[in-house]
Amino acid sequence: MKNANIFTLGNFANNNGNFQTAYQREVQSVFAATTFGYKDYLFLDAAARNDWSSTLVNTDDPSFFYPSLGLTGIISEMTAMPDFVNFAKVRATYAQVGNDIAAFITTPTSSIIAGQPVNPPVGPRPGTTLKPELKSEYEIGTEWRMFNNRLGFEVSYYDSKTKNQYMQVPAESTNENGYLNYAINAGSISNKGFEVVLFADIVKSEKFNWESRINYSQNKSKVNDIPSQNIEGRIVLTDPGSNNYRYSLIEGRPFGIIEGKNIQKDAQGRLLVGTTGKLSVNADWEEVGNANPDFMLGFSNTFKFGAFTANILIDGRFGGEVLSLTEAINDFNGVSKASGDARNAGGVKINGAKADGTAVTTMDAFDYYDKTGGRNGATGEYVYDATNVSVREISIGYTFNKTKLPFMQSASISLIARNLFFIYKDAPFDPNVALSTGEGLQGVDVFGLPSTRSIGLNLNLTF
Amino acid sequence: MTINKIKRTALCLSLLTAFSCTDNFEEINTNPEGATSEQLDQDYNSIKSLFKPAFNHLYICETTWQYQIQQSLQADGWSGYMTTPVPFGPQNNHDYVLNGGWNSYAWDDAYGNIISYLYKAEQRSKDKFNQFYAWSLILKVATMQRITDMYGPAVYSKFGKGVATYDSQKDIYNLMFKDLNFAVAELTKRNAAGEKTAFDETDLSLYEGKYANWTKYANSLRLRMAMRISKVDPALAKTEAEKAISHSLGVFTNNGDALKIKSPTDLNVIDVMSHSWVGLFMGADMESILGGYQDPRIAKYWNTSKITPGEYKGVRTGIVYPSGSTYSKFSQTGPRTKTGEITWMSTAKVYFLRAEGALRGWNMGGTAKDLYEAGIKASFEQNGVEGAAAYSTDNTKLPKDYIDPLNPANNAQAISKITVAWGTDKEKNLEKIITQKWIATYPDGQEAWSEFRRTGYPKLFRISNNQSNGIISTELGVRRLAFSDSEVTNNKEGVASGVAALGGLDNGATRLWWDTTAPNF
Repeated sequence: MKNANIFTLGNFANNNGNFQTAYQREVQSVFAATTFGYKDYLFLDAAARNDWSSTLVNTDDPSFFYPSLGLTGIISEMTAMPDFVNFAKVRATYAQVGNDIAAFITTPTSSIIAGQPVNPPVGPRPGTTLKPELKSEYEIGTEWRMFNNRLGFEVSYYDSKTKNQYMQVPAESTNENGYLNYAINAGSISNKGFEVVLFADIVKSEKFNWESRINYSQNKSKVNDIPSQNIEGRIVLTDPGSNNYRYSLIEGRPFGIIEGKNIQKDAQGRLLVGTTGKLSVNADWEEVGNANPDFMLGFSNTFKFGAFTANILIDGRFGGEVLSLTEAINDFNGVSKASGDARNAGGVKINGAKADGTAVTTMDAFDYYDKTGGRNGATGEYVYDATNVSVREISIGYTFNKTKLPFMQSASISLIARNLFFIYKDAPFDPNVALSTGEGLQGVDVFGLPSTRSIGLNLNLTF
Repeated sequence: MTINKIKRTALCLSLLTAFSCTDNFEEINTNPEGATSEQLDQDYNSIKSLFKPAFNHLYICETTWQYQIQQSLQADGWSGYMTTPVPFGPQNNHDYVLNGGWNSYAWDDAYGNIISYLYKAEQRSKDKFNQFYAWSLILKVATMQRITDMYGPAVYSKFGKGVATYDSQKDIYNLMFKDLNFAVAELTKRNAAGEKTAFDETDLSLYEGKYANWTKYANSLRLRMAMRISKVDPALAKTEAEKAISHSLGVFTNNGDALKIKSPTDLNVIDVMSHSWVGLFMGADMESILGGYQDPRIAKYWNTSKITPGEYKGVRTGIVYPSGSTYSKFSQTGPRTKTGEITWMSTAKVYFLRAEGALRGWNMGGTAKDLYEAGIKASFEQNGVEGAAAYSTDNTKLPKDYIDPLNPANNAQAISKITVAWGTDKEKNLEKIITQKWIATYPDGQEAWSEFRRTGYPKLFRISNNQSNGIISTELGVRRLAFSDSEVTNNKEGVASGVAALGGLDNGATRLWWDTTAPNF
C-alpha cells in the first residue's frame, strides 16, 4: 500500500496506473397509479411518484415528486362514425419526469492512481447546489384506422421542457479544487416536435400482400438560461484542444451547435489574400453548423407473395450539418482527391482578392490547403449538409410449408442486407454515425471507422 | 449487512417514511474506489501526497505529448534550442500564429496539477506544520514564476478566494518574494535547530528532503527572479539579489547543489520527441554558436546528423517545412537528454546570474569576470567535458554561419559576433554572460526565452515564415502567450482583470511588465 489502510487497486505499491471505477446509487420511491374508465371509451390515467436519491445527498433536497395525467377518448365508440372508420382515438397527456444526477458528484473524493491521490475530476461549482432534472411534457395525439384497418395514421405533437438539465461542463483551470469539469444544472432545454405514422395495406389478397409504412418525425430544440459564468452565453461541450472544432450549447439556439473557424474575407465576401500570397484564418470561433436534423423520414414496404416475403426500408435524414476533420487533414497533407485534382489543375480556383482589391482567381494548391486544411485550419470550409437518404435494409425470406416439414414445427430462411447504399449523400462520410454516445463530439468525423454494410443469412427452425 | 439493508428498506416502504431512511445516502454516494481526506490523514499522507504532482508537472516528465504542448512547441523553439520541423497547419507557434490549444496547456497544467494541490497543502499545513507550508511556497513560486513569465498577469493572491481574478506581474513578483521570505526563514530556523527533515519520503528530487538544500534552491530562485526584474525595478532587484547571496546558506556554488529530479518512469520526453517521434531537432542557433566556439558540450547535447555525416546540423525554426520528414536527417538530441533526470536549476546558471549582478554593481561575492568563468567551469563539469579554462579565454572563435544543405534560401550569416573570453565592454560582456548562460541552461527553453526577451541575447536567427499578419514582429519575436482558452471561456471576469493588468492586447506581441524597451544598462 502506498497509503496505509486504503484498499483500492490504485493504492497498491507495485501497480503502475491501474485503477477501478465503481458506481452505486440507491433510489427509494413511492409510486401510485390509477385508471378510471367511463363506458369503455373514456379513460383517465393518473400517476404520482416521489423519489429519494442517494446521488442528491448534500444538496438542498434529495426528494423529488413528479405526477402525470392522461386522458384518452375512443371517438369511434363514443359517437356514430361513417362506416369506413374502424377506430378513432384522441389522447392528451401531461407528464413530469424527474431524474436524479450522476453518482458521487455531490461528494467529490480524490482517487488514488499509481499510489498518488489525484483531484476529483468533477464536482459542483462552488457556491451552487445541484437539483434533480425535471422534464415537463404535454403531448396530444390521435390515431385512426379505416377501410377494414387497411389505412391508418397516427399523429402526435409534443412540447417538453427540461428544467435543471444536469450536465458536466469544463471548469476554468484556476478553480481551487482542480476540477476538470463542473457538474451544473444548465438552464432549460425545450423540445417541440411532430411525429406522424402513416400505414396502408395497399394490396391485400390471398396470393399477394403489399404493406407500406411511412414514419415522419421532426424535433426543434432550444437552449435557454445558460449560466452567466459562461462567456457569450455558451457552454462548450467538446473542448477544442488543438482542433478548430468545438461543440457548444448556445443560448437561444438548438441543442448542439458546431463551431469552427472561417477564412478571412473582404467586405465583398472574397477570400482575403495577404501580402505573402496566403490566406488567413479568423481568430474567432463562429457557428458553422447545426448537428440536429430538420426532420427524419422512414419508408418501409413489405411484400408477401405466397411463402415469400420481402422488405425494403429507406431512411432519410434531412437538414443539419456535419464537419469532416478527416477531409481537412487529408487536404492539408495533400493526400486527398481534392488536393490531387487541384495540383493537376495547376491550383485551386478561388474567388479571392488582395487587400488593394486586385482579384485573385487561382491559388497554388499547397498555399491554399496549407491554410484551409488541417485540424486547426479553416474548418468552416469542411462543413457538409448532413442530408442523406439511404437504403437501410432489404430482406427476402421464405417460409417452408409446415405440413411438409419433418420433425420441425416451423422453418424459415431469410437474406438480410443492412446499410446497403446511399441514394443521396453530400458529406464525405456517413453522417448518421456519431463519434460519441455522450453529449459532445456530435456532427464531426475525425478518421472514424466507416459504417459497414452487412449481408446475412438467417435460418429459423422451431422444433 | 445486505439483510440489514433489505430489512431497513422494507421498513421504509411499510411506513412510507423515507425521510428517516436517507441517512446512509452520504455513504452510498461516496466512491468506494476513492479516498477521502479523513482516510488520507494518517501518516500525514493528506499533506505529503500533495507535493508529488509538482515534481511531475513543473516540467512534465511522464507524458511526452503533454510536455510537447507545455513547453517544446513554445519556448524550446523560440529560444533557438531546438525545433519541430513539421508543418502543423495554419496555427503554428513557430510561424508566429499562436496556437491557443497548445499554449493554454502550460497554464491549465500548472493550476490543475500543481497549484490546486499546493493550495490544499497550504490549507492543511499552515500554522500547524509550517515546514510543509514553507515547502509548498517554494514549489508554488517555482511554478508561478514560469507561469507569469509566459502569460504575464496570473491568478496568485485570489486563488481559492471566489472568482479567480488576476494579479499584475508586478504584484506577483512582489508576492513571490514575500512567500520566499517566509519559506526561507522557516526552513533556515529548522535547519539551524538540526531538525530531521519531514520531506524525505515525498521529495522526488535528489535532495532527499534536506532543508539546507531546499533553502539554497529558494535563495537561487530569488536571485533568478531578482535578475528578471533588473531593468524594470533595479532597486528591488538589487535588494533581493543581495538578500539571496548574503543569506547564511547562500545559493548554489557547486554542482551537487543543483536541483534535479528524476522522472518516475525514467522517461526523457525530449529524447522521445527527437528519436521515437523523429520530430525534434537541433536548432540552427545551437549549431552556429556551439559549432563556432567548437564547444565540447555540443557532443553531449546533440548527435551528429545523417545529412552531413560526422557533423552537427541544425534546423532553422519558423521556415517553410515542405513535409514532416524533410528535415528528419538533421541532428537529433544527444546523451544529455537520454536519462530521466531533469535539471530544474543548475549551478552554472546561478554563477551567470551572479556575474550579471556583479556587472550591474551589486554585491555578488565576486567579480563579474570570475563568476562568469566559474559558470563556464560549472557547466563543463556538469556535462562531463574538459577544457573549460582554455575555452573561457578564447578570444578568436566566433559563432559560425548557417548553411541549410536542403535549401540555400535558409542560409544565414552568424548574427552573434562575440567571442567567449571576457572583455572590457559592459554591453558585450552582458551578451557573453547571457550567451554562455543560454548554452548552460539547455534544455530549459523557458528560461532561455525569458532571458532572451529581457536582454535580447543571445542574438538568434529570425524566422522567415512569419504568418502573423503583422501582429508579431519578426525582429522582436513572440513576447508572451495569450491567456488560456479554458479561462477565456469559463472565467471571463478573471480574464478581463488579466487583460486590464496586462495593459495591452491579449496576444503574443504585448510585452510583459519586466520586458521593458529600456536599454540593458
